[in-house]
Amino acid sequence: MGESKRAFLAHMQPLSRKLDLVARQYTATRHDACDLVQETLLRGWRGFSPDDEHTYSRAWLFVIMRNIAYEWRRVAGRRIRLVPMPESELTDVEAFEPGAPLLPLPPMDEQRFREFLDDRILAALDDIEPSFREVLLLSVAGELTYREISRVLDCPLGTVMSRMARARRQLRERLAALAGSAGRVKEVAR
Amino acid sequence: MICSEVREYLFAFLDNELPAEFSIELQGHLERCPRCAHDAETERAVGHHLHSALNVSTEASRQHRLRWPRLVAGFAALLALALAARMVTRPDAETLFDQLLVESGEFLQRQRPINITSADRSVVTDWLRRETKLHLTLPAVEAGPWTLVGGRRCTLAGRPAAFVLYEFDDVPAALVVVSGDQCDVDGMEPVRSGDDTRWSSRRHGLNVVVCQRDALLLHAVSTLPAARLDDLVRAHN
Repeated sequence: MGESKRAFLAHMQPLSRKLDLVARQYTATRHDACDLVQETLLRGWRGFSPDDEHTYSRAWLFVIMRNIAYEWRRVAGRRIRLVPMPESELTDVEAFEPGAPLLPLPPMDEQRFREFLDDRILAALDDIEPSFREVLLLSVAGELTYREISRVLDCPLGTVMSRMARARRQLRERLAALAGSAGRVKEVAR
Repeated sequence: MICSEVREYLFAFLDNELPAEFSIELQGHLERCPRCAHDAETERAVGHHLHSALNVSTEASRQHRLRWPRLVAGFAALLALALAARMVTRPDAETLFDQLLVESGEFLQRQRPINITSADRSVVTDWLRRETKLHLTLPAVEAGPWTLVGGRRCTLAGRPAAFVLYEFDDVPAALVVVSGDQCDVDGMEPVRSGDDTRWSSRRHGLNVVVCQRDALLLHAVSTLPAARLDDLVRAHN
């Protein structure tokens, strides 16, 4: 195995599972997610130089993946389900009171709460504003730090922190809404 | 530090993104303020479940694509109709058995997620034991081409329940285990084999075979014939 290939694999392999998870959130089908990971690695490999190995951060392949996903939005036959709002329109959405009380969830015992989250958390996630969801996914599925996310999104660290807070608040709001309807369903079903 | 400041930085705190000194100060507030501590605990649980759900959904969808291509639409439609009828005729589905039918049907239709996806019985056993506190051991099922798919925890009539999903020739079957020493056998046919007694019933297109062992009630639920489900239940004795 060549030195270059070995260096690339050493960089890529610890990230492969995370790239797979994030790709599934950018795309609507498993097939497109596989293609997205493959294209990301292909472009990464083409641009990789072992001499510059120390300059590659963990965020590097995620930057490539995001760029490809955004290119694919304009390609027929590809279904990208994470389409962020234009930056110019985000300002209004981002405006919120960061210290405001968090919306309470209906009271439920620990077991019920865990089951509720198991059942509904992905539905709640899918319902939050894509620009905020993207930050959350890069953190939770990609396991990137805020600083790494700011490199992927090419935005200031403060913006990442603000969007993360907004994402978690929206997630909580969606969960609270789902808990209200789930409670009525469970009264019938249980 | 006051509560509104805590709420402003809570998510960064939970993600270990705050400077150490600030983090210590915020932690100190959480130790003194039950309301903020409750918010922090809730958000911790949400973050943990989100992480698990993204991983589990990936595994489940992989398994789904590999193993469920022949789950015919007719089966899902049959169950949907049966369960809809059940919900309409018994809106107050209160008994454990009623709830079990509803939950099992939804589980078999994949409307309820699998929490742990693995064909390794020790992995599924360990997870279900830890999550439900039920003293359950999954056997090496050799009565036919049974395949273990995974498991899920649930609550039925206020009791913790373990759902184990198997397949027999690609047809799904749920084994539902709850604590209890009294079978709800009204209208069920006893099936005796040696010292062991089991009961079987067919309701709304689903066959159900029930037995009681130690302090556990085992229910096998599927569209499979009752004899097949009997094999599954006996393997767990």
